[in-house]
Amino acid sequence: MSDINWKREMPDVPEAVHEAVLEALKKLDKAEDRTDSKGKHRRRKTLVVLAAALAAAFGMTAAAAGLLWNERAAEEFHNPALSLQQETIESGVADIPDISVTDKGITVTAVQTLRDENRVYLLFKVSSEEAVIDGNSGFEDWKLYDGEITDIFGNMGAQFLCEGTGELLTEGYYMIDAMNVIKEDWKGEKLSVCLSDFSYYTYESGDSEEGKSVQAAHHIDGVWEMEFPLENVENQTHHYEVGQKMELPEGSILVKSMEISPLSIEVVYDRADADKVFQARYGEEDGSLWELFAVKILDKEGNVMNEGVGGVSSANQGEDKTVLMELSGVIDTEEVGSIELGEKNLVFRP
Amino acid sequence: MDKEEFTRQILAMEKSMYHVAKSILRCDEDCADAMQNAILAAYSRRDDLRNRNYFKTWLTRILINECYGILRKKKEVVGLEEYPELPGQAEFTQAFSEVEAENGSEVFLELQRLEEKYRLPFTLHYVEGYSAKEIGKLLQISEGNVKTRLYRARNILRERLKGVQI
Repeated sequence: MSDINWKREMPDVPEAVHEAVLEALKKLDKAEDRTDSKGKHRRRKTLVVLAAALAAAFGMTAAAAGLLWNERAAEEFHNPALSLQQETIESGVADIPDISVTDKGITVTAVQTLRDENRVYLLFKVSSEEAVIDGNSGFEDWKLYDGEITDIFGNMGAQFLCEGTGELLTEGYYMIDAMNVIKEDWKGEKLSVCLSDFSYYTYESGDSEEGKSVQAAHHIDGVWEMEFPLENVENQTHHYEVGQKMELPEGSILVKSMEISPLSIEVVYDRADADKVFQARYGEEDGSLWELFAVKILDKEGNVMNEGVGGVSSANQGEDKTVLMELSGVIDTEEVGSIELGEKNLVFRP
Repeated sequence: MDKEEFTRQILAMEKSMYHVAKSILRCDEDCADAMQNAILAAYSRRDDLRNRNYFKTWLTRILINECYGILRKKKEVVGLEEYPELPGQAEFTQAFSEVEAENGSEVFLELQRLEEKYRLPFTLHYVEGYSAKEIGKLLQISEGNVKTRLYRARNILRERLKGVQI
């Protein structure tokens, strides 16, 4: 039980901030005027206006024209700069495949692929004739494979990006995020996805967290399979031999190398050093050397390009402890100026 | 959702919005900008929200994006100790210190001293009551990562607040 009532410790809304809120509320009508017929908010920069104008000339949205990322995918990656979205499309790291497969009344459309040497992110728009989609829905069986090989991906996740559960919809975004854990087997020429056995739940009123409880589970026995060509992806990965020690209170850990890609970073530590520090900190107890997974990437001017990571895969191989991490956003690897590990326990400048 | 209900919901969430914005931006002026942007963006996109029960989560997500957008524009993710070096932030630094002194809230000050990667999940969980799973979705990080950050934040605060149970 906490000794602190955190809500009580937080400051009240200052008068100036409250006034700003009231001012915004007065402008709601104007905000509505700025909304286009599809309900999308128009707050774009010059580049988007140009891209949209070009796309509009061909009767397409900027994303559909392949000029910018799918908006939802961009949102998931913290809205990368528009110039970076374009660069990643030009290099093949990002693609908007717009491939659709329909089976048993459910249409799955691939709207965005993102890929580097270590990670694959796929975003699908799923639409259905019946309302069957919420945060609990999903494909019970899904495979991601490179040609015939199915075991190169690890630390995989797949889910609907819904706001919650309880209300079934006819449309939603579904994402697959996977790390390429066996790099030597990665051909990288094409990627196949097979989704099957769509499941969803129906609900009844109840006292669950979301206000409703599950009444029954349902399955739609379909197969949705598609293939993405990836042969034109430029390799944006940079490998650095580091050979520097990360200083921690319990000792130092040699950082042998780093590999930075647009969507991921891999750091190879000395396994014996890491084990020693772990032992000194935790003994026989469970714990985590969080410093090994805390990464901040800055550009050449010192601006933060990426802070924090998503999925993490850690492997002990011989004398190495290899940590592969998904970046929370996307970066231009050419612009990396420094990489900080832990709380600046090591600052590496490539 | 009509304008009247939207306004009512925003006013009910004003404090929560401020806490979230404050945990990312710290500067009240930036918080106000982010909150204004989020309100206008949310209103123009309100048709995207199919289930009103998720208004708070949905708006918080928009607000967080707006806050990060402001940070990107500043081209800085700042630590408290770096604030005086930011252009145009000197006044805020002084104001911040004065507010803290007035409030006398050592706990809030220590919370604000946490790195943003700990501060935001901590605020979302302990102040706003989001679960680790919900925070993971909001911040696009794994639930495990959220728990790790909360654990680390608790440890730091426990140390700085001299053993207070958190």
